[in-house]
Amino acid sequence: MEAPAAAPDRGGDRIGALPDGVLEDILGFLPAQEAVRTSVLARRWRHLWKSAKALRVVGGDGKFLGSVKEIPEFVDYLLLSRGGAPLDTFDLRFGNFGDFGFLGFSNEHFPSLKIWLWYAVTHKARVVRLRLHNNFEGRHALPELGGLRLVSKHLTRLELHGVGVYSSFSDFSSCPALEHLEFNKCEFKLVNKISSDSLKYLSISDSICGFYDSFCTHICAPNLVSLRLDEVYGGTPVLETMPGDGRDYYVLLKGLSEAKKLALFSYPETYIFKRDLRCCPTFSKLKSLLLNNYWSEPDDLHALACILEHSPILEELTLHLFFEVPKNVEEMKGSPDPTELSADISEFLQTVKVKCEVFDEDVHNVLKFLHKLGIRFEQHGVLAEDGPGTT
Amino acid sequence: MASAGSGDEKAAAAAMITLISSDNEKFEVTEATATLSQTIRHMIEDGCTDGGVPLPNVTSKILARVIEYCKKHATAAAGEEGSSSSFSDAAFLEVDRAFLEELEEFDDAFLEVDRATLFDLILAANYLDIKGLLNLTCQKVADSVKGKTPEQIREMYNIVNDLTPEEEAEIRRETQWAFE
Repeated sequence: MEAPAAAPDRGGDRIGALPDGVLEDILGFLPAQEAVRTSVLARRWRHLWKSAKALRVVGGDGKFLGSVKEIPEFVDYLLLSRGGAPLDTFDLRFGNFGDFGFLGFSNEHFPSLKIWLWYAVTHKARVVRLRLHNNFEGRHALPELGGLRLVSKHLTRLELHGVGVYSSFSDFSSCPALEHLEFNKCEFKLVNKISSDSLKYLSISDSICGFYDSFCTHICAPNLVSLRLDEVYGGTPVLETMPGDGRDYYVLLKGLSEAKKLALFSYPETYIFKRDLRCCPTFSKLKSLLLNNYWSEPDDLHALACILEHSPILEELTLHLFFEVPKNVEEMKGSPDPTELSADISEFLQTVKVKCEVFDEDVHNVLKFLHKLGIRFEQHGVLAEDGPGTT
Repeated sequence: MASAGSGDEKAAAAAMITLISSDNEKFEVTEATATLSQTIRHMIEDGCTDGGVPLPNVTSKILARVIEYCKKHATAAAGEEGSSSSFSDAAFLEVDRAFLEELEEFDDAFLEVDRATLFDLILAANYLDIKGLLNLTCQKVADSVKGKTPEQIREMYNIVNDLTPEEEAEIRRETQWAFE
């Protein structure tokens, strides 16, 4: 990198003293149409936008592009004019086009969506986001990425919103750097397997998975550290532990049993974890655990007890006694009393945090339960108030 | 993560590096802070930081600001790597929301500088290869031109239009699709 020449200070307006590489960074933070328009600023700027390190096209919601029909033309022009310069980030977001009772995008609106994604990936994009407004109201076919199989050494993060994917799309074995994968409001059709050896973070939310009751998508990502499955309709994806592990009937927990850190958030109507608990695996490497209210329902602390029993080297436990994070969160810190610590739980436990909105009966019960296990809380005089004999 | 294969992260974190500005001022920083700069990270890996790292392109005034940024963000990075409540996806876990908000406030306050300082920070971030700082400062410049006409941008940044009217008309024709 060459040292920038000390430019004469012209009242601080030294944008011209910045090297091209930096101007290309700056142009990448502009909406694409504005980046293109800088080509008329001066001779130096004429072609700079073509090497902008990020492409951001944000349309709809009354901001840019008046109608859905203008989208394909604009993006096609943009990519063709841009040519071959490498990209870092490719970000397409199309919100609500309020015309004609817009019900979300369908496949016809995006005849070249696959090609755009291909463009981004073949131009070395590390981060790719495609966010197409979709609330599943229209009941039409979503814009399709189909069975496109991505090949990229560079791609680390892929976020897809409002698209449909077919079988082989979710084979990411040719994307060895991919670590972060998100699907929101997507439809998976006949996707047997989401597979990636490099993936660390996977989130599937508000999506439709599979066609038939009997059809189940497998997740094969041995290096996963974070998994979020939220409102997945159809068959809940199954997490595989190892390739060829054979059939087992723990759906999720077994697949997570190698995790060192785990956050398990679930909603009351989800039965899958509780079914899994009947044959709870041992989390032999788990040091840090975060659970939400699902695991500590007032009338049944069995789930919490069970998971603690099966976490022999746990050091840190955090309980969120709510489903949605409230505005005001009260936090109570506890620590184990070594002389009283129950033999059923990890002897390595150091901190326990309990967060709640208000200190009510249910919270009290959880603390009572933890007290029985030998965990002491200082604040609130927790158990002193009505002093149930607990030791 | 730890540099040069030193297994002992605590020792690495405590190691100090001396940075020397163009006007010969010395700054002692921890390795964790210094290695937010890829340029310095590579120097450390090559073992050429003994006796200090001269930074002839960065004045003490700017270097002090850069270090302030790196210190704050090194703490954040340590939080991510360390053991406590370090789930990276704060958006869904909300664990570190307060901390991220604090970091955002820091960044906002950090950017409250005059334009000359902003450009100096950009050049320093570029030279030292500090991605976070470069993105932050470039974003600020991009925000300042967002929604402006080419004429307004030229005026704002003293850009001399050296295109002939014919050339400008030609470029506008070429990029008509982006001018709506």
